[in-house]
Amino acid sequence: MTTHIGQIKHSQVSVAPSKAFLDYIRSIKALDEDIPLGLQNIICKNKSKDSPTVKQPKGGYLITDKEKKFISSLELPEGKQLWKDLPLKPQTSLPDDTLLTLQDLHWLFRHIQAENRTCDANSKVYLHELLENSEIVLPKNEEIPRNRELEKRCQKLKAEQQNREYQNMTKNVDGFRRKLPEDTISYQLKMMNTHLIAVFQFIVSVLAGFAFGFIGIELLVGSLDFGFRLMLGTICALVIAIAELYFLAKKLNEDLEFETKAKNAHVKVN
Amino acid sequence: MAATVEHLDQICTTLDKLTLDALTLMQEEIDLKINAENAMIGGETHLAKTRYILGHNSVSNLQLPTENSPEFNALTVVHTNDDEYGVKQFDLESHKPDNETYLNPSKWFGYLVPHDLQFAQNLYRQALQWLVQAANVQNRLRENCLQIKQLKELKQELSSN
Repeated sequence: MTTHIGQIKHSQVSVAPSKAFLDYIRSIKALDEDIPLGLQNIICKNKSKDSPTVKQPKGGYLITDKEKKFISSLELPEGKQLWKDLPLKPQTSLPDDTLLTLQDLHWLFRHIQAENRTCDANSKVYLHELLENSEIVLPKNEEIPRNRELEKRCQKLKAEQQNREYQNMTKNVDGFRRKLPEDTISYQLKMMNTHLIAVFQFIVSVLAGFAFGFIGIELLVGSLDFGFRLMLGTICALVIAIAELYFLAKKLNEDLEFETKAKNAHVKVN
Repeated sequence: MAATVEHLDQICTTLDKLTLDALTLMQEEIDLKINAENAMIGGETHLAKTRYILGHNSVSNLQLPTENSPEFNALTVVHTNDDEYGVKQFDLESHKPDNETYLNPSKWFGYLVPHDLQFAQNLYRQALQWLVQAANVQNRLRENCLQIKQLKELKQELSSN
């Protein structure tokens, strides 16, 4: 069954920690109150069931002008082939509660910095080393399954369409079957009738308009000159004819569009 | 020797920060792109409404100016400039349409257009803003990743010595 792609609901970038990283996190002793949720879930046994969808505060950038100047002061090797040697690992599915959010990582960074200040130079830990081999989990689009009823209806319509095509193909092979409405005389007559009626209506309304101008106004106002009556009648008839023509043209245009649309749809299905 | 160790420490701390910032930038880019997507969806809905109201022939690419149309000035121009660290940044320059030098593009579809077309126009404009911001973030992210890579190489060199 086909699926549609929906919008991203939870736009949280998270990190799936590697094994070494997980071990390090478990070894954190300082159990403050302000440990963020993701870390709590890993460290503590009793998992808190708070909703993870709480809007998290923005972390902000850590690189300031000082760091930027430091970086530009270094003699950096050319690293043009940046994307060549990135190791690509197969995605492994992890349970949700081991994912670390940005907030967790920021907390960890502060924690590590505090630790590093107290211990000696050889036993320092760095976050980027811990993060190696971890995996960034990007938010995924939601997948909306297609409605079952729609699917059913589509199948039915498709079958109908194919049936019609088949009959169209075989209609001059088998003389007995004349199911298609286009082939019967009554259908043709009906089509002709609709057009004839439209033309007839047009003529009648024009004639009525002329009669109104020619006779009706004289009845209303009193005796008028013959030439003037003729002019009045012609003007009325003309106005009505123009209005009528406009509607006729509009209707014919719609009919034409409908037909071309039907034809196009036909071609597309093929 | 002590100087090298300190140097290494500084590099590693910077690397930490860069790594975290890369993630922050990713988050930001995703958020911006979602915003842009929402704006585009709104714009498309309003445009579709306009086409429904005016008929699909009166709001279509037939109304757009062709090569033979008179020249007109663009309402919005993207400028590219490098910031002080060599990262490319884009910014948008928008003008208010004043019917002389800058024409309002909604006039192409007639003079009495429904409000939906104006809503659509505004939403598309917002989407453009979001996208420019997203492009800026993307450039910074690329620069950031490059720096991480370079710093890592440097670190390896230093620690192997």
